[in-house]
Amino acid sequence: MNNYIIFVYCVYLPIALVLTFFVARIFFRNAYTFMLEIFNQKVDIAKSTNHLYEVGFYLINLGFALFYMRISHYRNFTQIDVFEVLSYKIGFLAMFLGAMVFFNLYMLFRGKHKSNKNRAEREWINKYQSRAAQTGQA
Amino acid sequence: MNNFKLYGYIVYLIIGLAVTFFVGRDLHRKGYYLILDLFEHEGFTQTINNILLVLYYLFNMGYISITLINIGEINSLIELIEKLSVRIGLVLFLLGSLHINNILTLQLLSKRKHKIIQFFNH
Repeated sequence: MNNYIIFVYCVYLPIALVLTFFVARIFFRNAYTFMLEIFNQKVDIAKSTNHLYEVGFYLINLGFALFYMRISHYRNFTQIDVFEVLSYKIGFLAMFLGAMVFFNLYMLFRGKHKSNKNRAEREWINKYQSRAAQTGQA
Repeated sequence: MNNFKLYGYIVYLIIGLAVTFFVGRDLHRKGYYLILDLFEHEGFTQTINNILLVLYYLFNMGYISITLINIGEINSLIELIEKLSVRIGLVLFLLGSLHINNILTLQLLSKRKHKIIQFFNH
């Protein structure tokens, strides 16, 4: 019975690590484009912000995966339970990862929308000021 | 019986301190550009960055050493793995939320950049 529990841990941990790693890598490789647009093509800031968010993503997801790992409160752990418990745990972890990715995606779109709005406002103000200056000089 | 507790403490300390150290180094390196964007002055940025790093280390190492004490009774390998995983998960979660909180604060502050620069110049 104890051997089954340790076996479940040994399967769960690598799957959780690999899943988190791949999801984070794929998501943040593509988020860089958004970051560039949000920060007005400033490469330094976009790169560092992207990297910092990636580290935060890793920490939160690995923290959740470890926090959620406990299974010894199951009584009479059998061979069948190995499959059931494993699939339940990994499924919930995958759903959590998906929710985090969608939340981050929402934040990215919101940031893009806001920065576009700010840029349009600034351009409008600049145009208005330069026109006022021209008419003043003339 | 006491051996499990000892192993648990050692593993917890090593993982906690290593994660704190590496995440802090990362923040220190990459956060430089964010603070530079905020203050636009290199010496000042360097100072603030170092102070933030030290505060971060103090806070996290304090948290790790406080939570080290009450790990509870441990009688088997399974219990050890569980308690350790819950503890380390909590540390990682705390670190991640602090990390994201820092970035969001810097981004919020950079919206009022001009006011801050004025404040420090006068």
